[in-house]
Amino acid sequence: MSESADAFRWQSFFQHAAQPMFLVNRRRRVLFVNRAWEACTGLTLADVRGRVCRRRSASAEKDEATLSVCAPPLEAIEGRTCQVRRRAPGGAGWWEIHFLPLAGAKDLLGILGTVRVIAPSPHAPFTLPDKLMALRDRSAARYRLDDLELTSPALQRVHEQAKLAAQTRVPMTLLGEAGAGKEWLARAIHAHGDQRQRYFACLDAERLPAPLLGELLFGTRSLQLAFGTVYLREPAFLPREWQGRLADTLHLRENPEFPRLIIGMRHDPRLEIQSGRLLEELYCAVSPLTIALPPLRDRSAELPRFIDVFLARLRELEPHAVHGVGPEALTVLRAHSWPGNLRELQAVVHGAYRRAKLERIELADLPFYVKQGPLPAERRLPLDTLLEQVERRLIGLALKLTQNNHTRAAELLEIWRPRLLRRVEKLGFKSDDHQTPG
Amino acid sequence: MRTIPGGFGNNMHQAQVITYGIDGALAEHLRELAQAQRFWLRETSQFAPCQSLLFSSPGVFVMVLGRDLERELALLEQLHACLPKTPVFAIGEADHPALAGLAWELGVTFALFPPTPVEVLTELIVKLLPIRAP
Repeated sequence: MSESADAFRWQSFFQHAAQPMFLVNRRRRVLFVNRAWEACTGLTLADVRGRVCRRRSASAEKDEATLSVCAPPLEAIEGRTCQVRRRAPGGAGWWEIHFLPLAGAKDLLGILGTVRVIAPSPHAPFTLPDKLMALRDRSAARYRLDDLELTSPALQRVHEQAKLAAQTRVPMTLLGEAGAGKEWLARAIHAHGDQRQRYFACLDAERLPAPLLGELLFGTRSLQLAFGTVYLREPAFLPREWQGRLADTLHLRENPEFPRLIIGMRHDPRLEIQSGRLLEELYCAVSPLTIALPPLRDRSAELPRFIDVFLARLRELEPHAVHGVGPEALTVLRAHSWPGNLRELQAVVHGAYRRAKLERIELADLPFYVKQGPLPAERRLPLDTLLEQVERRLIGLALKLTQNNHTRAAELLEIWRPRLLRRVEKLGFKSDDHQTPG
Repeated sequence: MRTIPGGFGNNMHQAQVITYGIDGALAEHLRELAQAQRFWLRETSQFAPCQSLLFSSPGVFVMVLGRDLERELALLEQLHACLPKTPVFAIGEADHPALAGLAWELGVTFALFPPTPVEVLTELIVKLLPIRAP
C-alpha cells in the first residue's frame, strides 16, 4: 500500500494550499511537501523526499532539524489524529502540527501533517530549555476538550460552548459548584485557543492577598510574564474598586496584550450582585459567554473514567499495583452524591490508593463517610412537614398552658381565635392532645 | 530532613508547611513564623523525601527553584494534577519571566519571583494554612 502512496499524485491536492503541508508514509519517510512548506523551510521536495522524519537533538543540521520537527508521534502512526507544538526549525517561534492519518484499503496510506506557524511574541520570551518546554507540552496534554465524554445533553452543550470559546478571545464566565472542573475547562479552552503559546495563570481572589493580585492584573508584571489567559477564581472577593477597574479594562480594550480573562464562580452571579459582593459592570463585561458545568452527581456515567484518570496520575508519582476499583467499591462510589464533586472524588481515590493492599481498591479502602451513605447535609429537609410539626408542637403547648382554653391559647399564640380553631381541626387535635404535644 | 514543631503536640489535623531548598534568612524567618503561628515546618533539601512527604501528608508547600529545574517543575505539575487544592509557592532567586510564567502555568498558587519581595511569602503562608491552630 505504501508503494501506491508513493505513486499517488499528492501535489494535485495540496501543492497550492496556503498552509505548509507534508506527507510521510508509515515508516516516517517523506512522500511529499507542498510549496508553502518549501517556502517556509527553505528546503525543496527533492532535498527531503524519501528521508526519515525522526526526532533528533536540537543541534542537528538544518535539514535534519526540520525533518525532526515533522516527525509524526506514535499516536499518528497508530492511526489517531493528534496535534503537537514544537519549536520551529531554527528556534524562532513555534510550529503547531496537526497530524492526520490517511487510511488506505488495507493499511495506513500515509500521515498528512499540516503546519501552523506561530510567530514569536515580543512578550513571550521563550528562553527556556527544550526539556522544560516538553514538560509544558505534557502538562497541556492533560487538558483536551475531546476528553469530555458527551454522556448527556448538558455535557454536549458544554463541549460545543468550550470549542466556541477556544476560537475567540472574549472574556467569559464559568459557573459550577466547587470542584466541578471549572479550572480544568479554563485550561482546556486556553490549550485549544490561539493564546496557547503564552502562559496560563490561575489567580485565586479568595485566597491571595489583593495587592499581589492587583500587581498581576494591572501592573506591568502580567505583560512581562506573557500571560495568555488568566483564570480568575471568585472575583467577588476582589475589592470593589478593583472590580470596577477590571471592568473598565475589559470594556475599553485599550491594551491588546491584556490577557484573556476567564472568571470562575461557584455561586449564582445574580445573588452575588444583589448581595453587593460582585460589581454588576464586571459581570456584564465577562458574561458574553457563560458556560455552566454540571455537578458530578449529574455525570455519574463518567465516574469510572475519572477514577481511571486519577489512578493513572497517582501511578506516575507513586508506583503501586492498584489498577482499578472492585465492583462493591464502585457501587458505593456511584451511590455517593459527591457534594465536593471531582475534587472530593480525587481526594477519596488518593486516600484509597494509599490504603489499598491489593490490585484493586476495595470497599474497605474507602473512607467511612462514603461507605455510610449520604452525608447528613444531604438529608431531605421537607419544609412543609417541618413547619407543620413546629405548629403542632406550639399549639399543643399553648393548649396545655391554658388548660384547653382556646381564647387564651389564641392570645398566647398571637393569632385570632377562629384561625386557631381551624388549625386545631386541620391538625386533628383531640381534647387530650395537648397533654403530649408533637 | 528537619522538623520544627509548632507550639503543641503533633496530630493529624495540624497545619504543616513543607519546604524544599530553603536556607539562610528565609529559613530562619519561616522557623520563627512556625513558632508564632504554631504550624509544623518540615524542611527538606533532598528531592525524594520531599516528594514522599508531600504525597503522604500534604500541607502548604514552598519550593525554591533552581537546583534541578526539570525535576522541580515536573513535581509542581504532578502536585497540581494529583493534589490541586494544596497551596504551592514557587520561589525564584532571579527575575526570570519565562520561568515564572511556566511555574504559573504548571499550577502553582503563587510564583514569587523578583521584583516581588520574598517577604510576602509569610503573609501568603499565614493566609493559606489549611487548618489554623486554636
